[in-house]
Amino acid sequence: MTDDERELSAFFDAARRARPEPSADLMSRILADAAAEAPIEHEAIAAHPKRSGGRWRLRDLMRIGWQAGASAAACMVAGMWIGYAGPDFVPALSDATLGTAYTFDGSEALTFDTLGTMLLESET
Amino acid sequence: MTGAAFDPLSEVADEDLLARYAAGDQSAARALTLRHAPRVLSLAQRMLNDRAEAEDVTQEAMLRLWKIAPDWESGRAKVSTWLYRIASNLCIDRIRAHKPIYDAEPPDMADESPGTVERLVLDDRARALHTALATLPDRQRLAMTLKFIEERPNPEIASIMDLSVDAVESLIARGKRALAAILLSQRDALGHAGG
Repeated sequence: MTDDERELSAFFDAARRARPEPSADLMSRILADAAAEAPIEHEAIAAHPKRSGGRWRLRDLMRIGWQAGASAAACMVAGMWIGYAGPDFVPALSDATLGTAYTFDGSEALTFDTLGTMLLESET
Repeated sequence: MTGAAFDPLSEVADEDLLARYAAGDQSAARALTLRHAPRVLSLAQRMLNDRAEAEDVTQEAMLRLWKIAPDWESGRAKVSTWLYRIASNLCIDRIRAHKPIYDAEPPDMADESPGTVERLVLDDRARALHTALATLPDRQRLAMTLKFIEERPNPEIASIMDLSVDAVESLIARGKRALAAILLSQRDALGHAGG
């Protein structure tokens, strides 16, 4: 080390002693950022509703879903049976379930009016 | 505020602290802040010569560290090197956006109180160096600050500045010549530098 370098190093020593210290406010701001960006916290916030929603959906299905499921299954079986047995079976089915038999030959248009009439008659 | 006194995790490596933070340990964030915020602030203050801007850069650099923590690749870089690189780029960006006015005000002294006369001499030298550094080109000032004030080795400075080690050595050699020309001409006014 030359004399000039030794003298320069004295200036650098002085500058190192004069290192600025972070203020309490700056440290607070940095730590607030750290808390806001905390990865686990974000993941937990994002994941919690998913886990909760999943459990809720399962509970719903267990509590009330079986009714809808049973109805859907009955409709599916009936539809398959009608498809298998053909339209001739329908009057017998309606007679058995609604107390009256209906035939539909396709000559009258199936409108809301005719459907309404069919329903009203089935109630009487 | 002195970092070491409040750092209960002072023996834990930076990467481990970052992993702990990514796992939700806020005390790791505190330890990293105590360890690195003073260094980043020191560099930013030397580069920008503006306390408020230096604090903004420090906060921004640390914020980027928090953001990258979950994706930090072990062994990719030292945390300190990464932080210095981010802070350096932020400083250069700010300098290029609006050249700060150098008022030759040195940073506040840390609480390492020598005697009154000695302290005055040290203050004068620190102020003189601060003023001289401000006259250097941006990248020369950055290399000199990293080398002689932050005491980083040349290969790390090369990594921080994205330069070859040869280029860093060249920057430092020119910086030393420039500072010597300015400072050694003031040795009588500033007291004997070696004493």
